[in-house]
Formats: sequence, structure tokens, C-alpha cells
Amino acid sequence: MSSHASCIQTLSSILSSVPSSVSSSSSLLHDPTISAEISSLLRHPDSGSGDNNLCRWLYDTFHSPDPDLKLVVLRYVPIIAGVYLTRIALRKSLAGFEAILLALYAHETTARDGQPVSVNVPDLSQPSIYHDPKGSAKTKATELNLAVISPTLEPHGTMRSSRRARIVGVALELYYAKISQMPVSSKIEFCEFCDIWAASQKTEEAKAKKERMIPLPWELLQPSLRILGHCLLGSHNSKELLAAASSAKKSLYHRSLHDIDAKAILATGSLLRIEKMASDPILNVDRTEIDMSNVLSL
Amino acid sequence: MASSAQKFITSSFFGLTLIVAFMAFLLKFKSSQKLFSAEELSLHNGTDESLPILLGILGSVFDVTKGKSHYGVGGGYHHFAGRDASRAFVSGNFTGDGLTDSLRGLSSTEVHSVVGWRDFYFKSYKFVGKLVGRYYDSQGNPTKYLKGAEAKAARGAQLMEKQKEMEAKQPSCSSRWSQDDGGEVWCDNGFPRLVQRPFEIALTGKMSRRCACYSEDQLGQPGLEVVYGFLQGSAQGRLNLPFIMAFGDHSISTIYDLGFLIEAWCTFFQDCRSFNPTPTKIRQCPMQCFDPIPTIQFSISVSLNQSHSIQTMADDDSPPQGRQFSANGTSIPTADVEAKLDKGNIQEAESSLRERLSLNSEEARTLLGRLEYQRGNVESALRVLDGIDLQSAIQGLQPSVMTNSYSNSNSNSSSLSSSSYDNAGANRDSQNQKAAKLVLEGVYLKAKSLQKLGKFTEAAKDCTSVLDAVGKIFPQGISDAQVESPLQETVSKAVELLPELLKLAGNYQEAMATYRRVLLNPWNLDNECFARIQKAFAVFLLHSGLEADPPSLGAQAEGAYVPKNNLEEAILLLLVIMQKIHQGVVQWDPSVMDHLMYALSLCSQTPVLSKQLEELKPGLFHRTERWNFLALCCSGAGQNKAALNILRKSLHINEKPNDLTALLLAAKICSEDPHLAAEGVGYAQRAVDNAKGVDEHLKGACLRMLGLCLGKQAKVSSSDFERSQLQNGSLKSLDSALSLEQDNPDIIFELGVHYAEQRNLNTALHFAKKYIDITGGSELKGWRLLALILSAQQRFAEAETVTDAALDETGKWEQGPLLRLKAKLKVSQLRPMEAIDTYRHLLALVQAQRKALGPMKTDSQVDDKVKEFEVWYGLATLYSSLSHWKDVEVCVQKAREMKQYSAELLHTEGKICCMHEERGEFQEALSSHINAGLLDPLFVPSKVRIGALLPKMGSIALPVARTVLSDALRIEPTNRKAWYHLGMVHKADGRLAEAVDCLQAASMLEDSDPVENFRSIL
Repeated sequence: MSSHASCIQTLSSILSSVPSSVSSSSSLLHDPTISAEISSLLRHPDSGSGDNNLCRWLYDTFHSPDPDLKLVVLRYVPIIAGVYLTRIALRKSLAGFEAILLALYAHETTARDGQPVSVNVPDLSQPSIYHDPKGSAKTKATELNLAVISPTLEPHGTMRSSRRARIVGVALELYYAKISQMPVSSKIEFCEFCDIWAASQKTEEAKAKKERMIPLPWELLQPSLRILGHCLLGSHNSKELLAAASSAKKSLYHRSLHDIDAKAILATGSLLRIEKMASDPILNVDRTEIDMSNVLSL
Repeated sequence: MASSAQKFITSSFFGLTLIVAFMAFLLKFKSSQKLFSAEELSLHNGTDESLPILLGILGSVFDVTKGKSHYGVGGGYHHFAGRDASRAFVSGNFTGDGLTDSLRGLSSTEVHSVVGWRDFYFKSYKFVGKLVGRYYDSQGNPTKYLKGAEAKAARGAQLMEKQKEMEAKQPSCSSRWSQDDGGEVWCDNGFPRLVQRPFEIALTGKMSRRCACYSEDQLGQPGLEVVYGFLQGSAQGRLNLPFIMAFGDHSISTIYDLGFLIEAWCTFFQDCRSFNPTPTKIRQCPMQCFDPIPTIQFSISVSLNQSHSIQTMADDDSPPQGRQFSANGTSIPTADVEAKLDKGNIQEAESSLRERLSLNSEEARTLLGRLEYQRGNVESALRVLDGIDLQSAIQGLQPSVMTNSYSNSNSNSSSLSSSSYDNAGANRDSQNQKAAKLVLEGVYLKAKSLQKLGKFTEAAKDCTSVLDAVGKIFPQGISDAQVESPLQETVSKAVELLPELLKLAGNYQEAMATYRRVLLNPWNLDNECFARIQKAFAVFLLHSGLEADPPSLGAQAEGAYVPKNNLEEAILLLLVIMQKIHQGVVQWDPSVMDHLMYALSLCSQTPVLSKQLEELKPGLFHRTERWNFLALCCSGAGQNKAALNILRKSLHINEKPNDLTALLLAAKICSEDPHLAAEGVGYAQRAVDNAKGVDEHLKGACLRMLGLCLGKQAKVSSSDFERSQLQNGSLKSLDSALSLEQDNPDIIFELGVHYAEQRNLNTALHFAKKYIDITGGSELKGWRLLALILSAQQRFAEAETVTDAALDETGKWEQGPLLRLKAKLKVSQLRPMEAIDTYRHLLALVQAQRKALGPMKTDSQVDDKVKEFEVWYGLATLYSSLSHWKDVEVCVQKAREMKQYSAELLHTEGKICCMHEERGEFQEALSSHINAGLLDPLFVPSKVRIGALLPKMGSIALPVARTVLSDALRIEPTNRKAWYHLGMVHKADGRLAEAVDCLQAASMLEDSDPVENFRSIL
């Protein structure tokens, strides 16, 4: 039996029904009824324990050799991370969630051999493919600023609480790496959780749900902001996602002001201004439009 | 007779009057009008106090002694004294060559302005003579230079008058400025727009704009720019003449306020950082009150935020009136053709158009297509355009062009390539281009129509064929010389549109490839268009989430930097655009800065961002906004001192003292340093006062900062009363912060520390536990606080259990502080051997850490690591308590290798000496402790030891001991030993009541000492 066939079979024992149309990994990823049911099961108050069937299924599915099945698991990273982080303070067993998150973390650790991911910030005094500084084309050593965007990964067999934010952060990094293949509904879920994590302006509703601020250290916030940037400015045309992302961005901005986190203020503030500018018709004249003057000449 | 006599008297009287008047005039002339030589004048430059201070302008000399404070030595206008520096009045150059009387090369308005200055001196100061030289000859007669200058000034005045007249037709914007709201411009009627001044180029050789009001129907005029920059400004600073005069050449316009001048000053000197507003008392007034300035005129545009021009476009909603076709010298209205099209008679419409305008079929179809597109009938436009076989037309184009390029390539070798041949070639080229333009426009129109219909893939196909055709027609790429502008326009639009279409079609990989193809090949795009595409690509790279292969090295120049991934490529592109903005090649686009800000802050590369912000021309951001950004950049890079210095400027009373973000950041920075805490309290208080309305949600954060700053301030307060007041204030603020945000972990932790330091251990314990609960134990400091509180309660075993639990939750590299704590707990439980074991463990960790992470300082968490020195010192202390003096010395030796001068080590040495007291090393012990105190004036244990040792020298040393111990208690009010020894000193001095108090304090504290200072967690 192929890995995805057995995978679907197991799933059908967990869910109330799996439509017969769902036969490929791709339909498993995009089928709205399945994702709705899995999502609601993951949000269930008793979800995430060590003996939870769904968690086990996700864990096993992630370990299948089929890369498309891995995508199916990644699709639920927003909910898993979101529910997990909001439940930390409740002192419940969350071993099921932790197993999945640790599996993602271990996958990434192996994939990049624990090495940090870094980015060069170029110094424009050296020529690049996009520019050629005139005059001073000296052959001095290029001065590159090496920026680490994801530090070294040390292996973790268990969820040590002080490394929790990092482990969840790495899961989000993994999610971001495949974000162009994720369905919109998954991204909307992420934005909704950003709102909840930030808890910047407590509404009555939030108070009723006893939602509380989740500590948002940089290792968690940074990948979240990258995902949020995609939801706001990536090429998609889902109004619903845009609305969710816009609200999340505002919450995170308020939160970073509240935490007086300079880097976060700069990043979220810039997103805020970019969105504002994007909605200003004066700034967004379509330059590709043809001449509309009244005299039509050759 | 009588009448004649009378007449004589009258006339002689009259004559006398005349003579007297004449003589008086002569006398006056003689006494006041003097001819100076340059040498003579230079003596009157204010250095010799006995001489009047003189100033020359256009050869006229004035006594400016009454303005001594300005013109005398050290005054702001001292450069002008004792010389004729006419040019400097408008050039703003007050050094060397700038201080000349030559006006050569100045514009007529500039010369007019110099003459204006001379008039001012005539009005305000005493004219005393003429300077022989350029403007007056040795007889005191005006030279041709003076006449020339005055004539030029008159021309300048005329032009300015004319400009004024023109401008009067279009009313200027109103403006106001206030301290609190900054400035604004508005129109009572119409809309404010920036417009180029027509005569400005003729007058000054420079461009400048003014703000004028336009009615709604005038808004379509070309060349108007929206004023949506803000006119914020504030007035401060001691502005002196040289600075203001630098703007003397700017004409007309109202004087707005000093804030504007400061902005202008920034523009002029390209450097705002060297401008420091002084906190002295400042007059706010129009420029006139600054002696000796007559009127200061400069254009308002310097302080306006640069705005984007709007393209004027026909309004789609209004029915297009008078639309017409125009070709081959004939114009016809479109109405009847439209009617034919509306009936679906495309053929008929085409033939009618061909007939009346003598067009060929393709030309007519293109015009019809454009008409239908304009009318919004895109489907009909497509039908019309389908009638032309565009593909074959493109095919047909190429051969002739190919031959053309072929013959061109031959022309180098052939000496026969005559000019007539070239002309023919150029002519054919132009013919070809005309045809090419028509065809390509047709295809482009099709692509746009398809885009409107949502058929993005097909649209992209058409757009691609435009570019492919161009690529075939111009295999070498296009350059300015080859292409006429209408064709170029279509090409540019197609280049910009194609990647957008591909994105809309969801074909992201292709979009990525197209962007690179467009940006790495010459399409002869104008700078703005090129920058727009670069920006669009950068945004795509940043946010598409698509990990594409990096650009290939293929045809690139060797040694050029090639980005390795999306983020690198995006940052490179944004930096390249910013460079063009800095160079003034492309217009300022704030969104480029914002995208860069996003990308660089995610990479934690805020210093690079600061550099970009600093290079930005003044006026693009309001200066306080820029300061605040810079402060955030500094703080993001951990340079808090620098950040605070910048914030001090932006929070200055004359800038934006109530900006909540800046206030919070400043308060946060101050809360980390006891010596800044008092300043921080001010910021935090202001933040609390301003956290209302939309910022209400920040109230808790503000109160928390206030609490932290007050608590820190208490630490350095020298009076007991003040200290307890500050501590109460701190507690109150933190409590109210907590009531607003009941589960904010930070506040809970800080309250825990606060209570622990006050030795209110039960409450502290409650908060520490709550903190661990709420953070799920993710914060190391929570565990440490809990363990320390338990140790203070003498519950060592529990403290150790907590420490062990914490060790389980921690990655091995972060375990240092916990192991140190554990070792100390072992010591307290009198298990020295286990403590030594733990220290060994710690030592191994620290040494491994140094090896593994030594060269790489990437992790921000490295900061709170245990230093090897501390381990050796801890061991030394441990051995000394066991009286293993040999081991102590070894450890001290090791520790000294890490850190040669250390208060802690000297203290330990002092202790060793003390143990050997009987061997007469008492003096040495004391000197060790004193040295320790000198190395670190806040090192309490040495002070306590000194206080303990001194009384042994006899009663004469008692007052000194008392002072030292009081000092120790000021730094650390809960130091039990200090209280004890102070009590002993009081006792020895016979002050029994005080002694009882102190000893009581000591005994109360006895059982509440943590194994490490609570402060060590923060």
C-alpha cells in the first residue's frame, strides 16, 4: 500500500468521513471539508495530549517519505503552534502537539545540519549584478554584513520550556519556506492566531475567552512577521486573507509598542505604512495604462 | 524802499539760510563721509576695542558698533566686520574665498538681495564712508561695477515684481504654525498644490516651487503636485545671521516660521546632525526680530515633504466630450464612428476611417481599438484588434530591419559607406519604427484589454510577444539613439506590465524569470520606470514566499556580487534604489524605505538602516520622525546610549515632547541604568499622561516603565526618606500597571523582584510562582528568582529542587547561571564537596562554551553567560570558607589570569590576610580591601570588611568605620553584615540606642539573605 493510501485510511478512522474524492496528497491538502474537520479537532479543548489520535496521525504523516504529505502536515502548523502556545499556562499535557513540533524541529535541524541561516547585506561600493558603482571600482575585499536570520540549531529530544519559543519558531520557519503552496485557509488561521498571541487591545470577547498575552520573543516573532508579510503583500487576491492579515499586523504593531521592542516596532510599523500607502490611489497610479487623451492620433 | 529793503532782508535771509544749510551739509559730509582703504577698514574689525566696528557692503561703510554682540569678536556675524564681504551676504560662504566683494556670476535676484542688505544697513546703522576699491574710485565716485550691480539688481526686482503679479492671480496657500501641532497649509477656497515658479529659473538659475490654491476644475492642469507633506516645524535655536543669509537668494513667499528655516538649513548644509537645538530661552517671532535682518525670504518648498506628482487623466465617469481622431493632418470627431461600432459594424467603421483620414487598415484598426478601449468597451476593442494579423505584421517587420543592421555592421569595413547611404538607412529605420510602433501598440492594447477581462495568461502572452518582437527587431538591445519616443513608451509599458500579468496569472516562476530578464537587459527604460520595476521585484522577492534559484552567473561581469537567495536579492535591489534616491536620480518613494526597513529589521541589521536614514536628504522625513527611526535602529542594535542621545533631541520641549513611542523607548533605556533613572521617570510620567485615546492600551506599559524607573532611581538615592518614597512610588505604579494587565508576565516578574528586594518574601514567592506558571517556565530568570527567594527563606533544599527542575528545562548552553546558583546552594547547605563538583561541571561548560562559540557572537543570549572568572572566584571563596588556603591561592591565581584587576579578588585576598591576622598582616588585609573599593566603588563586601577591620585600630578609627559602613548600606540596604558591624561600631562608641537598632536590623535580616543578590537576575 502506498504511503498516502495508508495515510488516508488511517485518517478516515479519525475523522467522521473522508470524501472519496480525496485520493491524492494534493486533494488532502486542499480539501475544505477535511481541513475544516481537522482544524476543529485540533482546537478541541482536549486535543494535543500524548495519546491523541490526530496528533499521532500528523506525526506519522510527517515522517512519511512523500514530500507532498509533509505539506499536508505543514498546513496545520498555524493551528498547532497557535493552540499550543495559548495553552502553555493551563498546565495541560500537550505531548501530542510537542511531538509534532519537535519532529518539525528535528527535520529542519537535520536538513541544515544545525547550521545557521544567514544573509549578506551587500555594500554598494562593490559592483553587483544590479548596479555598477562608477569610479571607485577598486578590488578591495568586499565588505559584507553577515546577518543571521536563523541561528544554529542544537538537537532537542524533548520540549525544554526555555527552548519552546525557538522550537515553535523553527516550525514556523519551515511553514514559511513552503508558504507559497499553503492553502489560503491555513494562512488565515495563522493571522487569527497572531491576533490572539498579541492580545494587544483586549476586547470583551477576548477577556471572556480568557485569552492572554503570549510572550513573543524575537525567535518567535521574526518568522511570524515574515509569514505576515507574505499574507499582506504576497501575490494573492483573497480579500479575506488580506483582512485577517491586516488585523494581525495592527495587533502585532500595538504589541511591539507595548513591549517597546525596537526591531519589532520598525518591522511592523513599516508594514503598517506600506499598507496605508498601497491603499492611497494617488500613490498607485497605473503606469501601464494607455494614453487616455481625447485626441486619438497615430 | 521799505519794500525793497524788506525784499533784501528777506532774500539775504533766504541766502543766509541757504549758505548755512549748504555749509552744514558740507560739514556733515566732511565729518561723516570718509574714504577708507581696505587696510584701514580691516583695523575696525572689533579686535581693537577702542575703535568703532565697521562693515563694508558694495563699497559703503557702516558703523555697526551698536551691534557689537553680533559683529564683535565671537559674534555670529564677526566675519563681516572690517571688510567688504558683499558676496557672502548671499552665498553663505564665510570662509576664505567666500569673503569677497566680487558679485561675479551671481543671479540678478541675488544681486538684488545684496542691494537690499545695503539698504538695510542704511536704515539701521550709521553710514560713515566709502571704501576705495571695486565700487568707489579714489575720488569716492561710483565705479562701473557699482552701477552694473545696481542695474542688475533693478532687473532682478522687476522680474520678481512680475512673478509676484503672476502669483497674485493664483492665491497662495495659507499656513500656520503652532508649538503643539506643528504647521499646516490649507486653502480657504480650493486645494493646495505645489507649483513651479515660472520665472525662478530666469531669476536664480534654480527651480523652486510655491504652494498655491487651485479650484477643483483647475486641478487637471499639468505640473501641479499634491501637498500632502506636513508642514511641521518648531522654532528654536539661536539662529545667527550667516545661516539665515544662506537663504537670502530665495525669493518672495511668506516667512513661515523658524522651524522651516531649520529644515532649510538642513537642506542647505546636507547635515542635520550637526544642528543641535540649544535648550536656552528662545524667542519665537518672525525673522524681523532678529537683529539685524530685514526680511528673510526663502521658498517654502525646501521644507515641504516631497510629494508625488499625479498624472492627470481623463475622468472615466464624465462623458468624453470632443473626442476626435487625428492623422495625416486631418481631425474628425469620433461620434459617427462610435455609432457604427456600437452597431457592431466594425468593417464599416474601419473603412470610413481609412477613407477620411487616408489610413491603411492596420492604422485604422489600431485607432479604433484605442477608441473602444478608452470607451471601456474592451471586448469590442479585442474584436477590432483581432482584425489585424499582428503576428505576421511582426514577422514582416524583421527582415528589413535585419538587412539594415546587416548593412550597418558592414559599414565599418566598407569605405564606401557614404552619408547618403546612411540617410537612406536612417529614413528606412524611421519608417520601420513607425510600423513597429503601430503593431506593438496594437498588441499592447490587446494585452491591456485582456487584462481588463481578467484573462491574465493570454494578456501575458501578448505582452511577451511585444517584448520578443522588440528583442528581434533590436537584437543588441535598445538605446536612446535608436528608438523614437512613442515606440519606447509602448516598450516601457510592456516591460512594466508583463511581470504584473504573470503574477496575476499565478505564474510566479515565470514572473520571477521575467523580472530578471527585464532588469538585467537594456530596454532603455527611464530611471523612474526602472526603479518602479526594481521595487516591484524586490517586493515580490520579499513576500512571494517563493524560493527561486538565485540569478545565474551567466553573462554577468566578473567579480560582481550575485545574491544567493531571495532576501539578499531583495535587499540589494532596495539598496540600489535608495542609492539612486540619494543621488537624486529618481524621486523619493517612502515605500522603498519601508520595505527596506522591514527587510533589514527582520535580519537585525538596523545599523545598515541607520546609514540609509542618515544619508536621506533632509525634508523627506520630518526630522523628529527621522530621529525616532534612528533611535529605534540604535536600540535594535543594542546601542542604547546612542539611541537615548537621539531621543533627547526628538523629545526636546520644542520638538515632539509627547511622542509616546519615543517616550517609552527613552524610559525603557533609562530604566536600565540607575544614573539615568531620574531622567527616565520624567519620560515615563509624560508617557503615562499621554496614554489616552487611541493610545489608551499603552497605559499599562507606561505605568510599568514609570515603576521601573522609580525603582532604579531609589537605588542611587542618598537620602533614606527619598528612597522609601521612590520605592513606594515604584510599587504603586507597578501595581496599577498590573491592575490594567493582569497577566502581563513582565510586570509580575518585576513585582516579584521588587518584593524580594524589600524582603517581603512571601509576596515575592507568590509572584515568582505566578510568573513561572504564566510563562510556562520558558524564562530562566523566573526559575532563578524562585530559587533565590526560597534560599532567602532558608529553604535551601527546595531551592535546589527548583534549580534542578530549571536545569531540565534549559538547553545546555544556558545552564551556566543555574549551575552557579546550585553550587552556592550546596555551599549554604554545608555540602562543600558537592559544591566543588558543581563548580567543576560549570567550569567544563564555560570552557567548552568559550571554545565552541568564541569566534561567533551571533546569539543574542550569549550576554548572560557565566564568565570563567566567576567560577574561579566562586571556588576561591568556597575554599576560603573551608580554610584550604593553598587551593584558594591557586584559584585566585587562575581568576587573575582572566581579569587582572578585580575588586572581588582583592576582597578574597584581604580575607586571606585576615585569617593570618595573628601573623601581623592586618595592614595588608586592610589595604587589599581599600584597593578593592577603589577598583569598584560599588563593591559592598570590601566596604563591610573595612568597617569590620577599622575598629581594631582603636577608637580613633571609629568615625571612619561608621562612614564606610553607612556607605555600604546606602548601596545595599539589606546587607546584614553591614548592619551588624555598624551596630558594633555604635556600641564601641557608646551610642547604645543606635547600636540596638542596627543589631536588630541585622538580626531581622539574618534569615532573609538569598545566596545571590536579587539584582543579579535582572
